[in-house]
Amino acid sequence: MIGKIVVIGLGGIGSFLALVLCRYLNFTQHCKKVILVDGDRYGRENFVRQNISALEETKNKAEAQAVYLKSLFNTLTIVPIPEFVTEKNVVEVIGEKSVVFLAVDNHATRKIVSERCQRLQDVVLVSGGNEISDGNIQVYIKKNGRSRNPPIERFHPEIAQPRDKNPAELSCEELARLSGSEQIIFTNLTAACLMLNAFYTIVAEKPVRYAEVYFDIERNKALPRQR
Amino acid sequence: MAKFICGCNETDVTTFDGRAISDARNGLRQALNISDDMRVLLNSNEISDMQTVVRADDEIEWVKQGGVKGN
Repeated sequence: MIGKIVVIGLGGIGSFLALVLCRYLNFTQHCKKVILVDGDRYGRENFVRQNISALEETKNKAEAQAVYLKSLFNTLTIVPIPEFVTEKNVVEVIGEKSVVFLAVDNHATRKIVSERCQRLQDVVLVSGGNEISDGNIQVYIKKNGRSRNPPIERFHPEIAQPRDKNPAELSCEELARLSGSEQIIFTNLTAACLMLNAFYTIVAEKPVRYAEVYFDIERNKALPRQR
Repeated sequence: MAKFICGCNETDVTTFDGRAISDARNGLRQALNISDDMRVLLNSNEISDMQTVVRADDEIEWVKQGGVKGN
């Protein structure tokens, strides 16, 4: 049983993921509460690949998406948290029986979220990330205190010992530089779709036979991996 | 023949049967885009000894780093 759904990061991956996810939830009975978490604001450089109106420039991403999605899906309770996830707020953001979609752009936040999920008894974490034309998603499921697969940082030292910073620790100038990093809308969309595929498998109560999926849009290939 | 995987790249070859995993890494580095800092899984178990000998039915994966971006 799902307590709440949390989408962390409402940019390239998260904005498309949230749209499709909310459409699905609106017409099914799995869960009617969605929490959107992001401390960033939409800038002009985002509109080439992020699912939001250009009229929302300078608006906080979580708040802008909450208004947009509420206008489309009236059976859902959509709550924005206009903050970056940090050690200080992660306990409040992610509770027992959460399904967490992690669509951020830094490993520091991935580590914080993963460590929080490991301390819970029942949680699902679906994390996605990409480079220009490839990327991966990871799935971590814990039920009744037992995890079916290792934490996302287990074989990924870049997450276990992140070299990047949590965006809450960055200056405005550093944040502005990050938002211009080159990405492609199709890569973001592919990551979002693979994350939602994992979610569907879970709510359909089918076994998730992988812990990680690598993908490459240039070769139109996705390769699931057990861990 | 053994199976070698890195990210989305995979290949089945007999070339490295009976040889060390380090030989396979050096031989497949370009084809599979392997870097030396990647964790290595032999039949889903992590190993650190790169002199481990490859058997014909083994599956060796170099775990590619996860994508960073997305927001």
